[in-house]
Amino acid sequence: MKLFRANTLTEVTRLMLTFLFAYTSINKLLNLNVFKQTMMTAHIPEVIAEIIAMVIPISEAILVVLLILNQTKRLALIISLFLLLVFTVYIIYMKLWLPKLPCSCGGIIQKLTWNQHLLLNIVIIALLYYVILTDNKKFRQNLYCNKQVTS
Amino acid sequence: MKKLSNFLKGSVVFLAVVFAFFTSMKQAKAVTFEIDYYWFYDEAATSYTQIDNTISYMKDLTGCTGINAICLYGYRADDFNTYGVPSSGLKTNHGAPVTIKEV
Repeated sequence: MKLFRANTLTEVTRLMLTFLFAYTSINKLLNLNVFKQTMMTAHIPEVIAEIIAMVIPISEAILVVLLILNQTKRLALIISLFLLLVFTVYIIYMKLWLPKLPCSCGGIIQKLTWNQHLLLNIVIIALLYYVILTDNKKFRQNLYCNKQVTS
Repeated sequence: MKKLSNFLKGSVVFLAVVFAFFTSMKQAKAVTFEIDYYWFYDEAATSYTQIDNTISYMKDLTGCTGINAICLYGYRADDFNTYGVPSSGLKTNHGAPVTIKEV
């Protein structure tokens, strides 16, 4: 029962992240110019803004594929955590130095205030951290069981 | 169970794509802004007549290719140019920020 619950939480988190990254990735790609311009207003040089504007949505799209595939789900969860941490650092920077500027995030997430955005990120990061920890425990247990069966 | 999982994953991606297109189309529509602004006749923004005003302004952001606030906030200085002097600029009151509120 406990294992089922842990599995369900992992699957729900995976689905939620798949939706989130698929949505923001497509939205950023559809509004690539606006995405780039928003970053430029945050004192990011044009050349770097252009590179980031391409790299982030493409990375998110790749992450969606990794999240869907069962073989790469652990790796995808870890990369998601890393990406969300990077986004959170960016939010903190914007909140501290340029709070009047809009967020360069995709779609309706852009409508959130910096505080709401920070809260959302912290909640997702906490959930993701918990899921990765429980998933690692399960992975080690399975590895131990398999070793015992084979020996 | 595997079939259900695959169905859920497919549905989530499909929903994300549809939702992204839908909100993106909405985003490209005209946006109304309420702007508190100060207009200075000269570029240096030090003297001459100034207007302290609030305006409701609508701007179509489709195909916007400019940089910085012009495209992001959907206004150009000349949109408020009641003096008819092109590009003399929308100025803030000696460094005070222009308040832009989306309606």
